[in-house]
Amino acid sequence: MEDERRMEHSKIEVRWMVLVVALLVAVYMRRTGTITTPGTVILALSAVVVGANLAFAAVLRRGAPPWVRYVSTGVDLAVISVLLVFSGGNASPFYNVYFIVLVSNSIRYGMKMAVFVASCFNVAYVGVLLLRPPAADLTAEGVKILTFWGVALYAGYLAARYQRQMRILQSYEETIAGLRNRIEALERGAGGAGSRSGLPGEGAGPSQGAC
Amino acid sequence: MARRLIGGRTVGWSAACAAVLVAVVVAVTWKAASPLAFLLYPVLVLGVLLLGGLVVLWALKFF
Repeated sequence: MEDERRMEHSKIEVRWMVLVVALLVAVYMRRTGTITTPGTVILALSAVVVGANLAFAAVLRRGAPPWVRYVSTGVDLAVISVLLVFSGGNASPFYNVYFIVLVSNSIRYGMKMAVFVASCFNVAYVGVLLLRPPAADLTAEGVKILTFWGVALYAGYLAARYQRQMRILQSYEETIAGLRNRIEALERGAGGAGSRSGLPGEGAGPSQGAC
Repeated sequence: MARRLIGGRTVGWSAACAAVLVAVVVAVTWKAASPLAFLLYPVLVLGVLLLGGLVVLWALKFF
């Protein structure tokens, strides 16, 4: 529970940073004419992200319900998709922002989240292609979606493997701690018994005890 | 010899279905007339993954 809350808080921090960087880049690209996104859309999307961040922070103050991770990821993907629609569709320079959401969530939550992000991206990107039909044929877009699936599944696999290794490491640490406690208890018992019966304690040799 | 949980016949069918799904993925990517066809990808990709995983794990004597 505490882990989940910490992870969602770190996502909120990353979202603030990405918002500031994306906002600066969008404003700069708009001035240079690289994108033709209306200023009102940029402001509206920024307001949505700010509102979502504040809402998620408020929810996390009371706890970390399991649905928060899926809702926050869905909101991120929706905002990116709207930005794509207004900044060139399939040719938008903001397409790669999808990968930030994918990798950051997959590393944190594993394979299930990777499949969720890839499925949401799949649906959202089809929506983008419907609203802004590409000039070239659709094969390149299909390959882009399949590449995203490949990255998602590989990131999910790596995260699952990492989580398994962490669990094994944790069980080893618990075993070592338990064994240390048992050794200390045995040593204390041996020391106590030794002092009562005249047997040597730790560091005392058998010859000393015999004397 | 221990009896395997999944028979060779089931695995054979799974491999055939996985191959068909891969062919459908290629066909959809190559010949899609509308972006809506890409909505099949989640089902196709996950189907290939599950069936392919079943075959590979069976070959590794996991089942």
